[in-house]
Amino acid sequence: MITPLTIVTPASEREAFEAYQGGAGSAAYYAGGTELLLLMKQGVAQHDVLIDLKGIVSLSGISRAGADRVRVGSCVKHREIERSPLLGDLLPLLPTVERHVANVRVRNAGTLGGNLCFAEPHSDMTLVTLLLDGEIGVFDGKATRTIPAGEFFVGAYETAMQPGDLLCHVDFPVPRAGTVFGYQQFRLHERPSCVVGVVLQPTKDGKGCRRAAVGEGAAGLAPRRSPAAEALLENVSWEEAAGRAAEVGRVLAEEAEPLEDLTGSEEYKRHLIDVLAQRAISETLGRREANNA
Amino acid sequence: MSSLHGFDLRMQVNGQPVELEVGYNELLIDVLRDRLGLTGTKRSCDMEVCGVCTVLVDGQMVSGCTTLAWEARGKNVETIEGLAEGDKLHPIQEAFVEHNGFQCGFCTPGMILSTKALLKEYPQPDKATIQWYLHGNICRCTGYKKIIDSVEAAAQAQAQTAGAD
Repeated sequence: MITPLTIVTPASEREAFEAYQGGAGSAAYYAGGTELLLLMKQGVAQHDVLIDLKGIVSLSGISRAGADRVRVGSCVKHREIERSPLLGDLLPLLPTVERHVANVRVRNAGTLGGNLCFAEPHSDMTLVTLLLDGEIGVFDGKATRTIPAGEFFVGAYETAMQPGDLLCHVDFPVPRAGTVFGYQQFRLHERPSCVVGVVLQPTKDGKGCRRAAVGEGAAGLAPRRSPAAEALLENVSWEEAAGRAAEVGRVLAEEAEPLEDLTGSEEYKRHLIDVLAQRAISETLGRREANNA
Repeated sequence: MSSLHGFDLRMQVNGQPVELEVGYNELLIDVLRDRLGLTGTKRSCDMEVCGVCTVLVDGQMVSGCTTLAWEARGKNVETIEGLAEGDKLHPIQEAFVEHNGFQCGFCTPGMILSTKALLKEYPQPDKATIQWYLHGNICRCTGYKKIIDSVEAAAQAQAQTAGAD
């Protein structure tokens, strides 16, 4: 049972920050509650004050931020991402993956910001944010600083944020037209036990891949990208990229640090990562062919 | 009256205005079941996975087990008790009865409310859409085929009613 508490409703990021400081260590930011309330019900987390962020206008909405960025507010719900025409157009990996995050009920309540702050090892959005080079805007009471996704996810349930820091938004650079992706999951139940994602940006002439993002998640403590696997797919023709799928799978599986748990041994998860990587590349290249057809 | 640990919750439940003093820490499922006697909403996994606690808040399905009652303020909450009109079952309920879409019945309130949300969003869902939308509602009896049959029948019934208007 959740212990007695108070809910406050700040109207601005600063008011939220001040409420946190006033909570004497026992306040928590609260948005969808899909992760936080589970912990509070189990008594793993206890808070005297919940700071409900959903009334802060600046934390809502999905919009273009300049010519080459899309900004997603931290209180944007998973379902808003799933159904956003703007994201479907410019960053289709986000809505495509969101369609399969948890279930409709969780997506109706849970938010992107909450998901990233929580940094649950099996989160899909942490890996996707990493693959898309998300830039995470964090308000620290004085200013909003930007933390690159590559530095944000430190470990299981651990991010680069300090106590009181408020995640305000995530800016996603819009990839070049013709960018394609693949995303492969293995799951025995709601949370995946292994995930591999691939994003390939084309060269200017469209004949090959200029830039690759390859990463795996859910198997270890935090999502990881593999520069070595990415290098194999960069500045190569599409045919060469296809031919390197097995090597990418091998590199990704070797570099991963999977944890043994009820969903499989370390060895088994390495095998899954290898197979999923090859499938993700095949899915990515298949999408390119379908786009060109 | 608002206090340190509680507030005055005003909401609509199945179309009826409700006002009661609620703790900020109280969950929607507990207010519905224990305070309002609406025990059609069930608790099972208690972690947003199984779907038996599904209720609609302003038409959107949520897990009552992990939603604070706070979130319902000013909103319209629908539970399974609100679907039938007197003795007349809702068309989705009719479809579940007609097609044996339940056995023990424990998951059924959640299944039916999820179907209501589904058909509002996708009035003519194909099988893949039904499976995708309802995958967060777990049934341990039916093997799902009869549930999907029921949902398809409910969609057809809804389309016919809409056509008749």
